Amino acid sequence: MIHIPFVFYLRILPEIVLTAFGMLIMLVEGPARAGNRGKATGRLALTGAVAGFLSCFVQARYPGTAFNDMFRVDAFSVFFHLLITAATVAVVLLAMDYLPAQGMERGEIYALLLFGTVGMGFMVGSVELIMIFLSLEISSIATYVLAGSRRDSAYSTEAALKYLLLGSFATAFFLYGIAMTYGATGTTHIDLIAAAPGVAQALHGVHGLVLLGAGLMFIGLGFKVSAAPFQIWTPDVYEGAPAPVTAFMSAGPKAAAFAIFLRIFYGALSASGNTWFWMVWVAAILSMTIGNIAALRQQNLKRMLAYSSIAHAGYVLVAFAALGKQGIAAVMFYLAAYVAMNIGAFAVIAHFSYRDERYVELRDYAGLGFKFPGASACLTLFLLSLIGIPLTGGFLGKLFIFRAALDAHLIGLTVVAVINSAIAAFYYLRVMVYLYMRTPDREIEKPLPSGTFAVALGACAAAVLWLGIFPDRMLEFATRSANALLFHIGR
Amino acid sequence: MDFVAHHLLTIVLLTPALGALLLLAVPRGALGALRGLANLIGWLGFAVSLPLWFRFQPAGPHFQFRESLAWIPSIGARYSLGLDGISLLLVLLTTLLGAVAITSSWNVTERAKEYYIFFLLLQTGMLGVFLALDLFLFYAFWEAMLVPMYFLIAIWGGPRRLYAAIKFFLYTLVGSVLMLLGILLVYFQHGAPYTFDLEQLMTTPLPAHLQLWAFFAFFLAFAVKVPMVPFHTWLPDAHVEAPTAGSVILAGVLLKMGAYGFLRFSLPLLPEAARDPRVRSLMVALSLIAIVYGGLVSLMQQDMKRLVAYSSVSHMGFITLGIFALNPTGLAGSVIQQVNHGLSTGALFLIVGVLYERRHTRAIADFGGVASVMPRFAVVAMIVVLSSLGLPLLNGFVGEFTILQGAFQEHWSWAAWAVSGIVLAAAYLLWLYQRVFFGTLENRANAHLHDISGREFLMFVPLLAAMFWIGLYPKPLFDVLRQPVTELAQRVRPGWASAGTLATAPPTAPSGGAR
Repeated sequence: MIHIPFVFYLRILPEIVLTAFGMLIMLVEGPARAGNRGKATGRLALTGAVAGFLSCFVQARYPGTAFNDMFRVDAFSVFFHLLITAATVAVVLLAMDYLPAQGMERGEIYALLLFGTVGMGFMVGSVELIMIFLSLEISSIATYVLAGSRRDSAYSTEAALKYLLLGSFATAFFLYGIAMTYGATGTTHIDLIAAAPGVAQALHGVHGLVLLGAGLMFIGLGFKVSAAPFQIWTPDVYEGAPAPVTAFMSAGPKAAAFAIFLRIFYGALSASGNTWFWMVWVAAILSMTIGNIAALRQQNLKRMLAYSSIAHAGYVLVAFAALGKQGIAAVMFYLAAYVAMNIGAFAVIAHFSYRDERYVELRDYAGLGFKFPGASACLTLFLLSLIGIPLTGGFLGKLFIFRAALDAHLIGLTVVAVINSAIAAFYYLRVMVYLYMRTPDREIEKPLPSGTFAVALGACAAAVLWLGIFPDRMLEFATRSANALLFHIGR
Repeated sequence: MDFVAHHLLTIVLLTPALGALLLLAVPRGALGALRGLANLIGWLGFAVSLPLWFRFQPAGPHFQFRESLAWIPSIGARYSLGLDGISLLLVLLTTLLGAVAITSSWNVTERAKEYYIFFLLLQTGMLGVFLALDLFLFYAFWEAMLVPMYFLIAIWGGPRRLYAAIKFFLYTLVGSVLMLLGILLVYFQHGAPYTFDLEQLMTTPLPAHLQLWAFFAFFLAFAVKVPMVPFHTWLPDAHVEAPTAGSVILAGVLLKMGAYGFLRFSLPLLPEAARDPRVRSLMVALSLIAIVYGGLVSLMQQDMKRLVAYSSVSHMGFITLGIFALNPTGLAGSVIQQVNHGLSTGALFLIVGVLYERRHTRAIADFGGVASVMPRFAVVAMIVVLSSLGLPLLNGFVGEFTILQGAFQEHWSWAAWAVSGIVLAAAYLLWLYQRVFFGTLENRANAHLHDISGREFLMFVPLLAAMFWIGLYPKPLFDVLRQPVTELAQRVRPGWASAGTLATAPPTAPSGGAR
């Protein structure tokens, strides 16, 4: 009988709580009366998500490792735990507004959201490649199913299938990369890989196996964060999936994937120096440029934001290429801001989409600015933040990225990023043009007023402004987390 | 009272923004209340800025009324405000023109609530740009101010407003983001402990080649804003499409932000780049081209607003010429001319606005003989036109003369080219006046134009008063400017006074014959 200390359970408390609530939802859904089913499961999911968020604070009080050193609680994992569970709370709120309006209020959607979050929680806390892989799968499979949850829509089914096929392909790459790394170093633990002699030799071009492993893992993760040239799936999946699920995909899994990006490349492979630097550099430039240029031509708001999310993955990779504590902190701060502004933007889209997502074209937003002043003002705020206008979180996120990149003397990359962020302004502005300056050519049906939507929107807007005006605490937290990440490899 | 005295700048800065919050609470339908409150806030904003003028000590420390609070300690950004002679004049210009512009918007009835809110937010943004002594804070205001201006043009503008608004936004944004890189460049050169504080960054020695890079990064942002040729193409579009009050603020204040940027940041932070002969001749050449080209293009315009817009290009050329003369005379003239240009061009746009409100056209050909039906208005317009073309005893003359004097001290040919701008200005402005106000009243639609109302007259009064005041007795303005421009010139060209290009022009007496 293996003895498991109680503190281990506390260290994975958020995951335990979320799993428990996920299962509870599935249990409750059956016996609940048909009319009441959606409401009951929604409330349970919200309680579960909030409890998961709060239990991160409990987890944070017990730093250390658990389960044979496979799971680690440090500032880094707590940061991402908080970010991901907060995103899930917002998405559950959105779903509680969206699902009844679509007539698709089903408990399993809520349960899958929570299970997906469990996967992401394990992703950001794991320090062992097999564990990382397993948790990546938990989160991905939940997301595949969620993407197809508009069962009577061909687009949604197409999205799920595409996501599943390409996603499995990418995970296979990732797994192969793990195998190569194991072959080169004889271990799958992040800290031990970092100390393995083969990794340091890769710096001198001796150990091709390490580089091959790094390259394969980069492909797998590049797919998950939708970085070019692995971004092909993004627009179709974002368009087809139900809007709250798109919000979920663009926030949580992306942040979690970037977390393991950081763990593996800064944690495990940092001794290989900058051998993988050019990979990141090329992917950053491609993502920003392809994302922004393609977004210029989109008429569908969800597709536009899909391309914009590709571009934003590129900005994050710029900070990633900066190779250092500042870069890591910039990545983390940016992700926090991005999660807030992106979920906020998708919240508005989900709210106005109406039955069967009839209204997601740009022209449907004509004249909404004066009909729904509150929601439109919030959407405008999120768009301004995505552009990177001062006093919003998006601006400071970009500033920290540029700062880190310039500090690392990546001047060319920074200039490309800066020009890209100016190009991007055009398509974000276009949405505002429709909101406030166009008259509608067809009237859209009015969405039902909804309390949960208002709460989600208000929370995102407050977060964007808070990060934009008083960023200090978040930046300090991010820097502490970056230190925690680098601490174990003695850098 | 002590609290107020120590936070004068914050009060000046936040009055419009707090007013905008107040307006949020007023119901949409209550047009009268919205209008009244907005006017009240606008003029209150001017009133609270007046103590700055009376309490400012021309011989006192460089930056006065200082306030400094930690904002984002981890990157060294501070909420740091301060005022010297240069920013004092521009702040007063901003509060005055802002109030006048709000009064001129009396007839905005569509979405008046949002209109006034955006306007007041814009006002805070502009004041922040002139007051900030921290580069980060400056940048935040500089960019944030784009948003309300964008909405003002794009919602309440003319037929091609969308095109004009997006062009304005993108041009300015591209310039600004590159400036951000310039700021970061200087910031990193300073090294730990990191700071965005202007005065501390000024002590950082920067290698000459880096100064050049940073200078061009800043230059792009400021040159777009001024605008200098060839970055001026957004200006005519934005002006023509913007509502009257928007044009007044755009020409009166926004363009000054570019010139102010050169004076406050480019020159003191990057003195070696600024005095580099290549840079300087490029700047002067662009200024002279703007003066001549702007004047020639103005001559050919059929639309009154476009004419005034191009005349701004020409007048702003004088301002940048004065700056890059890099001597106290030129610098002082440049600041005075910024104030003058704000007053006269602002007034010119108001005049066009008055005509447009009555006739809904801005084509010069649609008018003629207006003086016979609107005699009072014709007198006001005459004074404004004469002020803009630089008639002695009115304000325009003082600024242009001082700039020419400063330019002449550097090289006679600079002044010679620039003088042609004054001649052109006389030509296009007088010709404009003649075609609109004189002649016989041929167009029947003009026969029943009613003369300007009391409110319309009142909004011209402060501008006219300022024009006469500066034209007749500019000494107080030169007094507040003397110290900052002398320090600036000495910083950019150390030993300038001893090397003295012209013995007859002592650097501490910038006003010369204009007094």
